[in-house]
Amino acid sequence: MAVLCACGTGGGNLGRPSCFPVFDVTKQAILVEYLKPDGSINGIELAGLTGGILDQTYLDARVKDVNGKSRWYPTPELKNITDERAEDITETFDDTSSVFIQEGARSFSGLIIKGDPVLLGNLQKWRCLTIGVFFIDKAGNLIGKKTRDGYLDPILLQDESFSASLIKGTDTTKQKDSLSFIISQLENDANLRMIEGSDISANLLGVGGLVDVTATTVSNITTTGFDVQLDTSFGGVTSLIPAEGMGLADFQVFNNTTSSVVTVTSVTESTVTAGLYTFVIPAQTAADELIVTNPAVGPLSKSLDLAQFTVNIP
Amino acid sequence: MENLNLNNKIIKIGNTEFNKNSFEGMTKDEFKKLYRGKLAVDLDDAWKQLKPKNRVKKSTSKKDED
Repeated sequence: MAVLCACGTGGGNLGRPSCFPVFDVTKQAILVEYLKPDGSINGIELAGLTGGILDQTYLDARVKDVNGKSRWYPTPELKNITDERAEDITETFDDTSSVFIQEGARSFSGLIIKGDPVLLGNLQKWRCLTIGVFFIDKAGNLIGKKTRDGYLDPILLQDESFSASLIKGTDTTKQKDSLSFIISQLENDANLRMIEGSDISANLLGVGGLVDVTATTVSNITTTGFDVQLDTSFGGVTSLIPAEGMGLADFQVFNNTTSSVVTVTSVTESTVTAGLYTFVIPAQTAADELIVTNPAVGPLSKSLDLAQFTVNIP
Repeated sequence: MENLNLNNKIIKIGNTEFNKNSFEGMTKDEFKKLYRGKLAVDLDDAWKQLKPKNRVKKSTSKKDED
């Protein structure tokens, strides 16, 4: 970002308080879509923090938001962080003197230990989006930018700069995913600010993102219920890791034929087959189509994000 | 879509989470028919928890009717 010259007011004061906080090394990034569906920046409204504290309720509401457009997507812990600006761009003259033109781009990279192709695929889905990022540092501070009153906003990334790749393990190294991006030239390091860890009561450092859950098989469908095997995307192709611990509040069933919500009577998690759930519902009409999704209003109660699936009543 | 706030309506028996409101008007026989072979707990015990005898009923005293 171009730095404005303060011709009318002179330079800025260079004094500092005797004691003040600084950023620590980054441990996690939180990816967000930079703009919400309403066009506003997907930032933190500071007045929305209870007593000025970022508490667990607030964090859950963001990380487990049922709306993927406004949700926070924290990465696993990052290693070997680089977060540096390139050399300034200058114009050099014949007498070998030079003048400042603009700052070099700030590029970021990090490694996710035990990163795998599933996580890689989810990272790659970000590439075409307009991305913002918050950083969580080692001290538990949440770092963003403050360019509008009353908000800590995510830092804008340069379009199409986001990249992720798989680094396979070797005889001496563990498999990893790497991710890298470049901070937008519209951003200015002088605008970076943080919510200090002392003002964060939530378990922010180490916060996990949601895990995708899909319906592998739907069986035993009757007018009053069905069974469904719910698995995560992780594991072997014949041994997917099941989605365990889900319950009644984690689902919504919608009758797409009659356009009405079906109030589920009960959900039973199998004690024999992990991830197998039995739904009992009020009697539906033959040939109706049911759509099972996350609850319509969040936050989600678990860190599991169900991809909608369809049940056709026989 | 309608939001179903289930937090105060859920009762967990064994590995099953029930929506308590779904059993209004259901008889014990209907319940046992619906859940036969589907629960790992005794159906009679489950029914007792879902339909407690101490449920508050509407008053039908003559005084109220007056």
